Amino acid sequence: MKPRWRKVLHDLWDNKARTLLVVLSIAVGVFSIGVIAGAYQIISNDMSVSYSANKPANVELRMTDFDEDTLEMIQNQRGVEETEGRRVFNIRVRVPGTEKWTTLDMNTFDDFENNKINLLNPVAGQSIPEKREVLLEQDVLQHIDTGMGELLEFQLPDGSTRTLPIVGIVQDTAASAGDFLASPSAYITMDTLQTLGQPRSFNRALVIVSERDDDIFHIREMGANLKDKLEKNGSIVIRLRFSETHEHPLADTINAILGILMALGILIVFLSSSLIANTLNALLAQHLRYIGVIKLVGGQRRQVFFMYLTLIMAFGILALLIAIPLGGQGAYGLALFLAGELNFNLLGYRIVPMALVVQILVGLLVPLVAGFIPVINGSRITVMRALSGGLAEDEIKVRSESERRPWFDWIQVRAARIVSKRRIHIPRPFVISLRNTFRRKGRLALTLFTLTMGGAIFIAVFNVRVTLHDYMDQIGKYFVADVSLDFERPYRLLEIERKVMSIDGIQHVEGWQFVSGEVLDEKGQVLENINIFGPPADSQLIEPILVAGRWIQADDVRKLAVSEGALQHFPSLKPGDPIKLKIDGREENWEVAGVFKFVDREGVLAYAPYEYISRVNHLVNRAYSFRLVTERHDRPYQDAKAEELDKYFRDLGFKVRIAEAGRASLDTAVESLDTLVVFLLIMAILTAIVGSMGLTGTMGMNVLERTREIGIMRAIGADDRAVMRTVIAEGVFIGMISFVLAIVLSIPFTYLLSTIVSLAVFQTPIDVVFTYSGYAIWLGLVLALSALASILPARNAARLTIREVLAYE
Amino acid sequence: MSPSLPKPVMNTIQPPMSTPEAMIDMYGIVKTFKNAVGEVTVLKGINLTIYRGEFVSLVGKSGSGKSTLLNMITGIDHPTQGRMVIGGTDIYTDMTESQRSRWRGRNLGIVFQFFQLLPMLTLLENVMLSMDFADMYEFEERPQRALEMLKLVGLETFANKLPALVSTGQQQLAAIARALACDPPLLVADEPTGNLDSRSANTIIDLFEELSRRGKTVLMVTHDPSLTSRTTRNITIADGLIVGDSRK
Ligand SMILES: Nc1ncnc2c1ncn2[C@@H]1O[C@H](COP(=O)(O)OP(=O)(O)OP(=O)(O)O)[C@@H](O)[C@H]1O
Ligand SMILES: [Mg+2]
Repeated sequence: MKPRWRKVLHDLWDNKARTLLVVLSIAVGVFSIGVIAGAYQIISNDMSVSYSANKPANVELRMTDFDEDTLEMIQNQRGVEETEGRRVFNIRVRVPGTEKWTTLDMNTFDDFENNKINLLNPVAGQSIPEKREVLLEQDVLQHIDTGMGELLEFQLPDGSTRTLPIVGIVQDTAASAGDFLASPSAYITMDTLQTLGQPRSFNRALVIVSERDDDIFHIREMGANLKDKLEKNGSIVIRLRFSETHEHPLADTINAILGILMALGILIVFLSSSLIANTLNALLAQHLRYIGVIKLVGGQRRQVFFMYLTLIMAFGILALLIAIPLGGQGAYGLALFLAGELNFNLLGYRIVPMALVVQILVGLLVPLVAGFIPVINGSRITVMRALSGGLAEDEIKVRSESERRPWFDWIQVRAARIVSKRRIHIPRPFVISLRNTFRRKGRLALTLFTLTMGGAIFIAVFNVRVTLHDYMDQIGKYFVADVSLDFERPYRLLEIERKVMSIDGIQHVEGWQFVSGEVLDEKGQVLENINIFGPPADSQLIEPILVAGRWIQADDVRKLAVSEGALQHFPSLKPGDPIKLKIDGREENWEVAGVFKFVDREGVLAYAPYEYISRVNHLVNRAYSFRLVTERHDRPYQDAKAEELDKYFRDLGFKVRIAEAGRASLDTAVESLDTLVVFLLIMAILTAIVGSMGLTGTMGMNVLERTREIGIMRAIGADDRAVMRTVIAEGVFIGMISFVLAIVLSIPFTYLLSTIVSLAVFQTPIDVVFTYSGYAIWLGLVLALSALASILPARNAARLTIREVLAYE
Repeated sequence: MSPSLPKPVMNTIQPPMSTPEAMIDMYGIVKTFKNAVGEVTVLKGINLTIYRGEFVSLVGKSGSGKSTLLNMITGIDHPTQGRMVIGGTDIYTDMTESQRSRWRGRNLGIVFQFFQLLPMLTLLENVMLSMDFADMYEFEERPQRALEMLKLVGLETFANKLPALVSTGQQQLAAIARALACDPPLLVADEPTGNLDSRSANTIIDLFEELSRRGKTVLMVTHDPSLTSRTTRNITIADGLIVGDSRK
């Protein structure tokens, strides 16, 4: 081996701490980019594969009860490939002997063996239940503390209970896809219906179209045609749902989120490259003398240049060795987590070639780019300058620095004198820390940049979290009361009101109407479902955020307030505009009174006054659905009141369908949003780690450069603690500066992140909310991180023996 | 030269032979350096006692081991063998490096040949720093005392300048002011005048003489024969052994 190359190896080995630092800085960047690129690939592929593998229904028709004949009629329509009938109903369950009821979506299959649509994947136990047995979707286990082989108690509409065994756990990839608000699902055969007090008939038809199953327009048209046919045949279709075969309903959202993560990953690479530049600069400065010797013995600039490039490549390769396997695991882990949250399956662990290539490119190119300038400068240096390096070089530098910036020193000294005139004396060891901070301004700038970025993102993520929660709270105000009480048949408003108000803690009750239909375009084609709620015009239970126009009024006739979602179909929609709807099979011309802010997941949401809708439904002064306000608004109280109301009305012989806490469904949605926030937070923590690694590197280099000063401090009486304190104080001081900068930077970051996330999840920008908690946590964290980051260098500093330090060269 | 210094004063404070009150007491100090080439024994068993109030010059050829011996006395490096008792404290037994640093701050003033002051602190702050480390004097008193020390070496007008802005001689004087700040009984200097012109060198030696007259023990390495003539005791070291020891 040529001596030069030996020198390179020697260098890697001799300076293990520095090698480790450079390698880790590269590795962090490579790792995060690998995780995200890999997860992106795996998820975007497997999500649609897994979803389509279970034969998702293209059209779901929610209808009043129907029989085999109707199902056959659907099957015989042109363009229908496959159809299945189900009975789906809500039922309350609990673990026998416990108090808490949970509502499940009970799905009844006609024939488990020949199941062709919305297939179930076995997870544990059987995947086909017998009579009086039940299968649970795995998500149920998150809500109820039970498992395979256990018993569950089911509450029938008449209030009596039945107990069934759980014989299997399954995964239903279609169960909650696209609907954050859905209840968890369970599965039985038609034979079990009677046991649960249900009629033996279908109320839902699932349809797979025979062609263009990824064309949502075709699917919608098919759905509308089917609805027409069915209604002509005497059936009532309550609601339609459409989805494409190969596109997971949440694909857009997930892609947007992965996009944000990708942007953060790129930022981390960028930050780690500034770390690399910093370290290589210091390394080259230490090598000046050696470079001089090489040149003195006839080494060419080119040779020096390539030698150091090789060193950098060696760093890169070491980093790749660490980061590629970890990145692959991380990518799969991230994908697995997301898949679990969204209920789809991965095709198994694998290396994603694209991610691998990106990692290798980043691992080799970024250090090269970052190290290029330092290496060029290093290889250009003259023999003279190089050999006069070390001590003399250092002193020349210090001099010229102070000559270039005497004003800065002057300001510092001046400031110290001004404070001391006021009899405020800063202890000198602390003065050392303060002034040392600003000695290497380029290095300080790079360190501050990385730490500040990490901090700003961290803080912004907390703000985004609160922003999302705040928005969910506002959404909650549209249709969620403390308790929702739904009946199987309509009851008179006055009757329910009188009964309800006699119960302790109930303050207010409203009866609501509901009607669904479709939005049509000018030519009468179905564009989208529309769900019209009919609260009293003076309802206390809605605080709409109006974007344009006004809220509903009691004397409105065929006027509605419509959610922003409608703008997707009519971008220029404004108050006063006509809108064509199909309600109960009739085309009607309505008028838009106002537009309000809301996330639409299934069709367009709209409001029209109870006063009008009750006439449309022929339910004047009556309602199926009641919304209540209770004395207290916390969840346990709401649950308790829902329970009490349920029992009260059942005992009186009312046909109660469900009584549940108003926040129940919202909490599930908030949970899903929190998953997203967790990912953002992981990325923020990664940036913070890169930032503190940068700080460790900086402090290490500072200590290395200041060994002689540390020696002097030792010689005049500084003990270990005193030496460590000055180093740690400097690190913490840098941390505090970065905190102040992060406060400022977090503001634009919060707006940016909130906007991207809300556009992805809600398809609309939302109002940003700030919270102090991110700031407080980051302050604590940055102080801890910066103290930690300087402890190692500080200990090294304290360990230097004075002789080493003061030894003449 | 300061022929006007009243010698009797010094004698009353420090009678070299009659009352052997030792400031430095060393027995069989051996120092061996190990490096890639092999072992070098630089100090070969040195026994030496220096009494309170003595003004000692240590001379010898380059490489004879002067700085090494000084490092043994200051606790900056530790001997391979031997015992070192300074002001009654055995500094190599039951003391960690860190504890030695604290001890040094309170009991010893050190002056080096170069690179003395911390570049980011003003002269005044440099002087105060040693009091901060040793935690001597009330915090509020320290600026005043530091200024007095700088007055003693004639640098009060430069008190608020950074070291880079004053001459090397002035830096050296400031280092002496710092060495005196905690009022240590022993002052150790390794070629304190080596870098200075003769005028600055004279100022420093005058100061040392004055200090030793006030009862401080001063030990100084020097090459300059004109300085050795002014000390009260002159020790010569050659090849790691003491080869000459004369008192005036
Ligand atoms: N850390 C060390 N490792 C190996 N050898 C050393 C070390 N320090 C000093 N030496 C050697 O010990 C010998 C004495 O060094 P020392 O610095 O004590 O001499 P000196 O008398 O002070 O010389 P000078 O007058 O040049 O200052 C020299 O030969 C030197 O090379
Ligand atoms: Mg020497």
